[in-house]
Parts: sequence; structure tokens; C-alpha cells
Amino acid sequence: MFKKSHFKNYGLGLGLRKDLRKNILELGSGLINWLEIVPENYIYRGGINQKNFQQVLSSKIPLIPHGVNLSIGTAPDEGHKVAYDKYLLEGLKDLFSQIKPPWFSDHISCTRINSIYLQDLIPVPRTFEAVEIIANNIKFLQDYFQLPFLIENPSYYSDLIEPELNEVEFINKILKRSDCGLLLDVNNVFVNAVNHGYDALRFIDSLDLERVVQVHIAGHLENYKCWINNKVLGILDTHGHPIRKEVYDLLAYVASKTEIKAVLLERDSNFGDFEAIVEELRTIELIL
Amino acid sequence: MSKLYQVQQEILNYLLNRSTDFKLLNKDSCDELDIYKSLILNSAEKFLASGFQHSYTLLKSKWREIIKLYLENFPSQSPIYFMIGKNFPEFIKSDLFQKKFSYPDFLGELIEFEWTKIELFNSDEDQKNKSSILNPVYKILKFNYPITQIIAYLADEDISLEDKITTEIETDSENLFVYRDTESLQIKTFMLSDSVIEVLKYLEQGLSPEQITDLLCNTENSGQISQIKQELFYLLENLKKLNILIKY
Repeated sequence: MFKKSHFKNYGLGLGLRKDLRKNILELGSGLINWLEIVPENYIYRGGINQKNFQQVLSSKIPLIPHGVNLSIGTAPDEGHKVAYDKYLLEGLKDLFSQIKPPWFSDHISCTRINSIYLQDLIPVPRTFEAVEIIANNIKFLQDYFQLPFLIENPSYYSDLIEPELNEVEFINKILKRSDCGLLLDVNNVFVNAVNHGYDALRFIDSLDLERVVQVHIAGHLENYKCWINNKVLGILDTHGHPIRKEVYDLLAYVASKTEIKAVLLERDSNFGDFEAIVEELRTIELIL
Repeated sequence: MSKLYQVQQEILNYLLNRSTDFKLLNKDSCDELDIYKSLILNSAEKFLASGFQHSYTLLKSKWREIIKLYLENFPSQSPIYFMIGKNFPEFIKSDLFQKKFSYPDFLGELIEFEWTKIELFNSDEDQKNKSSILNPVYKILKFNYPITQIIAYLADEDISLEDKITTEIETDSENLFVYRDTESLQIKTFMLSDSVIEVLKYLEQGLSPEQITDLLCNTENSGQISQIKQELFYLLENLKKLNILIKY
């Protein structure tokens, strides 16, 4: 049974990326209390990648995995109750036994169809049927890993088919049916609110905030032009640009409404000057 | 079959350009899926250009078209991102690529070499195979073209791209031991003669230097035993120095 009080407080964290590893280790503890890892980058890997990972492990800083390929939104084949990739799960189980994370998370999305990995977070149509499928997949994962699972609200650029539920209803129903926690990405809330024309604060107010365990904050890119059809998208979620004031404000708003156990600055590209990232971390620290 | 399953089959068919006849996805959804298509391609183009950097030099002008065709026909079946390059050598050798694009004859071997480097760089074979005499992270590649010379040629900034693309390179077989150095963890290559390949094969089987000497002497003139022993000694010492032989 989900209870926020069961989750330990981790405070501020940063995404471990290979371009940031040295800076993070040099910075030491103090500002950053934990690191988030993309677990798929550390399974079945040897060489430098493994050596660097072991170095981070030995620093004793807590590591929390945030997956991209668990694909909780994949519908199972006929005759199956859940959809999963055994190879991936076995790799993750081995990794989790080393890092002993307090929880793990992934997006409400589909990254695998049949046995093909799509290499992006494809949205899941917001239907009652999808809620059941996702909830079954999550329950299976929580049982398999014996760890609490958090779903992240993703940014999305298409509804795909006529939705039966709005975004908040969809998320709340998944949370309830699967009895898991929420990783609320405030940048994604902002991106979706602008792209799909809704009020971000109202969206947050309607969420089941008692299930928010972790928050992501990141930057984005405005006016992305799709080179295939030349259409311009209002905002693209990139994790590669400075955080906008409106997104910091959303974090402050969430923090004022509910207890957050861990906050993560996500930066996946344009690493540039590490001092600018440290500045963003300090801004987040002040908000919290 | 669930409706979600059917929608996802249509999404897959759209992303892989396998069909345009959809019952559940409408035109707007497909337009919106193009954003995902573009993002998937952007990342793959960038990643594969850096992993297959020498091949990219030759194929730059058609890179987007090539990668699009590759991903549509050889989509990744691995949750690990770097594995999107796994089938690139097979794609380059397929009719799909060969009938549509012009390319130098050595391209297939060059790409095989580049993929081997990526694969070995990331390999976890050393963690699985800890008792091996030979460095456990290696591959022996036999080429019809002098791949190491070709790479040096392609990397030479004084040679124009036009020349790199059009210069005909003659066949000249090359055997390479490609491996991950146990200290630097970087990928290195060691050129092999047929006789060294034979020695490596015996080492792989776990034979001692004495046993290898006996075997080699049986196939050679027995009068040359001391010379063979000496040559083998120098070879093994060299392989040890290069971290090819690690428990000798």
C-alpha cells in the first residue's frame, strides 16, 4: 500500500551523465545529495563505462534509477497479461542489486512495440483500457523488483486517438489502479500546458499530490521545426536548455502544496559550463 | 486483441514506413507522429555518425536518407541505445543499400571494423570470462582490403573529400586482432599473419607454449625446433606486452 511517509527524504539530485561525471565527483556532497541514473546505460556494459560507474558507486552517493525503456504503456500480445522484456528486466535486477535504490521510475509511455525499441517516448492513448494495461504492467514490475515504482508524467506531442480521459484523470487513475507513486516533471507540465493549451496550476491542483514522491525540473526549446513536415511545435522538451522562470515557479508551487522527497535537475545535453548547472541547482535549493 | 495493441501496431507501421492504411490513426495523428520520427532520426543520425565516423565521411551527403532507410528496415531490438548500430554492417551489405546508393567496395569491411570497435568498447565479456589466458575482449577480423591504411587515408585532412570518395583502393588482405586494452580500456588493433592466427587459436584452446611448440613442429620441419621455440617465445612476450595475452 502506497504511503508517502515510507519514502526517505533525499533532497536535491542531478542526473548522472558521462559528460558531467567528473564535475559531479569533484563537487562532492553538499549541494547534490543523490544522483539519478538511466539504468539502461549501465547494464551488460564493461570497459570504461563500467569502470566509471564503479567509481561513482564507491563514492557512496545514493543512486536512483530512472528508466526509459520499461515501456509500461506497451499493450501485451494476445494471451499475455503483461508486456515486458526479460533481457532488460534481468539486466536491471542485477544492477539494482548493486545500487540498492529506494525506488525506480519510468515514463507513462510506450518505447517498445512487439520486440522493437522505438528510441523515443511515444505517448499512450488516454483510454480506460490503457489505464488497466499500464496498471498491470506496473504491478508486475513492482512485484518483480520488490521496489516502489513511480510513474512520470511525460511531455507529449500527440493524443494519437480521441482520448476518453484528460491528462490528469489518466494519471490519477493509473496511480490509483497500480498503487504507485508519481514523479512529477514540472517542465513537462509547462511544455504540455503550452502545447495543448491548458492551465498548468490547475493541472497540478487536480493531481493526486499525496502520491508525488519525486520532482523533475529541466529546460526546453521553443519553436521546434519538424523537418519532415515543416510544422512548428510550440515547445520541445529537450533537457538541454536553461530552466525558465515559469518552470521554477511551478516547482515552488508544488513544494508549497505537498512534501517532495527528492528533486532532480535533468540535463541531458548542452552541458557547457558546469557552473551554470550549479547555479540552477542553487536556485532550486533556495526554492525548496 | 486490445484496441491499444492495435493502435500501437499502427504507430509502429507508421514510424517504420510500412503502411499508410490505418483504421485508428488519422491524418493529424500521423503528422504529429512525424515529430517523433524526426527526433528518433536526429538522435540516430548523430550517434551513428560518431560511431561510424570514417564511413560517415564517405556517406555524409546521403546520411539522413541512409539512416532513415536503415532504421525502417533494421530497427533496434535492444533496450540499450548503442545497439542501434548492431545491424548497420548487415544493412550496408544488403541490396536495400547497395541498389540505392553508390559507395566504395571496401565500405562493408570498413563498417564491420567500426562496429567491432563499438561492440568491444562496450563489451562485458571481461566480467563473464575471468579465467581466460587471452584478453577476453577481442575479435579476429579477416579483410580483403587494407582497412587500417584506408582509415589513415580517410582521416588525412590534406586529402579532399572528393578524392577520398573516388580514389580506387586495391584489394590487399589484412587480418586484424581487434581488442580492448586491459589497462587503458581503449580499442587497439594488432596485425596478424596466418601463423600468429594459428598460435592464437591454440592459446584460446588453453594449450601451453610447450604444447603449441610440439604442434607447430609436427607440421613444420622438425630440424627447426629451436628456431620455432625462439620465435614463439618472442611472439608470446610481445603479445603479453600488448595486453593480448594476459595470464601467460
